[in-house]
Amino acid sequence: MDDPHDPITTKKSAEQWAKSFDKVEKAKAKTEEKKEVPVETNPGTSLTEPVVIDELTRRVREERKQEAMNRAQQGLEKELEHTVNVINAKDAHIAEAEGLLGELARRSNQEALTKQVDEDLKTAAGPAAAEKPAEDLKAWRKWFGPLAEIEEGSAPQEKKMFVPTPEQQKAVESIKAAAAAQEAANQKKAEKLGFWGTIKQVGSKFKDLPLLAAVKITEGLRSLVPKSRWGRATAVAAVGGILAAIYMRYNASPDMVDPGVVPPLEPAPTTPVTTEALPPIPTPEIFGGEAVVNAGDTVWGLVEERLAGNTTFAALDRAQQDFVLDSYMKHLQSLGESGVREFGIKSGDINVIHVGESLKMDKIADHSLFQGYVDQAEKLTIAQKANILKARQ
Amino acid sequence: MPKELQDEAIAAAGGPILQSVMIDILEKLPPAQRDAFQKALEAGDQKSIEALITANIPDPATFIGQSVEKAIAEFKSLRKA
Repeated sequence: MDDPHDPITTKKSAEQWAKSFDKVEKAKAKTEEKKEVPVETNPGTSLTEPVVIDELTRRVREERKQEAMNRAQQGLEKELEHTVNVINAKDAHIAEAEGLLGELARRSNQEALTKQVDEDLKTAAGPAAAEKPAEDLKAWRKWFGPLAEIEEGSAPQEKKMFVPTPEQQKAVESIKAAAAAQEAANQKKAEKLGFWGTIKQVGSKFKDLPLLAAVKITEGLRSLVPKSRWGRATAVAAVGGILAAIYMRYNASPDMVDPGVVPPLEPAPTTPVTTEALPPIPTPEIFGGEAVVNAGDTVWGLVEERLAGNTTFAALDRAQQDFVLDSYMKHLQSLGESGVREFGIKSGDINVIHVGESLKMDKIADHSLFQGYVDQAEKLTIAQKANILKARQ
Repeated sequence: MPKELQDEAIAAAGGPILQSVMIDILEKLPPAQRDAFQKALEAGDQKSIEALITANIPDPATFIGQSVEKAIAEFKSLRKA
């Protein structure tokens, strides 16, 4: 196709070409005239008008360019500021969401643990679990408590403080004595292997399990016995799952226990229990210095962290330890808002602590206080312990 | 006996029984593999735990079943004693 601007290919008549040439010639002549006339712009300069126009045009363009750049810069600054604000807002939302998720995780921890045990044991039992002989399991439970009287489908019993009979207490104590004797026997065998540390740790972790989880695992282990006819096909997976679970899923978390849910057993002392001969002895080995609050911490957890290193506390069982910790919580609450603030909690409420707060642990570093709680814990009855462990769940 | 108390008794037995099974497993493992088992345990590495058991113990399901049975029998005998 012909280019309409190409003088060669565009089809014009001779007359049209002549007119076109005339126009071009006239335009050239005008341009030449302008160039030849010098124009004085400023005294002492010899700039011609076109040059001045060019210069002014250039300056105007420069100014406009600069203005445009300034506007762009301002725009970018505003955009940047907006972006920073958005990011900060998002960070705040993320922090808030993380806090909520942490709280949810802590609250659902117990439920998740129980579900996980169910899953592990389901794996252990395999398809044969459906054929689980109820009578067999009932007989197994009966061995532990010959007076089992709760039948499946029976109406829920009224919740009340249970006082075991001497026979029942004796039965449970004999089970615990057998457990202690078996652990002692295990110690001898494990020491020969050079693995008592590991075996002992498994025992300790098992004791820290929620009661329901411990029961399910025990029943799950028992289901692996060949004679039980069910669930031995995946025994390796079961043992692997249980051991991994004990180490990974059931690492005792202080957050699993709500300080508010442990039921009151006996009036906990709100003032230090003192002896006549000895003044209160500080226990810096337990509560020296300050404890800085980190994300996810609770007062219960921080106090337990300090107590965990104390041999007297470590020798207590789970229910007794919970009792001691609960006693400390009650003691702190008894200090009132101002006392709790002096302890380092700005809110004045031991259930509302913030990251970065420093808890002055030496405020509760009173040995007689500690000893008083331990003494009371050691006097707990089986029924009271059962209630504490139930509350823990 | 109320379920709570019965549960407490059952739970008390579980730890030592599990310990006994672990000892049986450790005794079966070659010494060189015991440290690996311990590491897998501490890491909560279920797959490695299972792999070590399966690789070193013939018919591991039967072995574990018998180990649990033996541990329970021992526990019962200790209770009677």
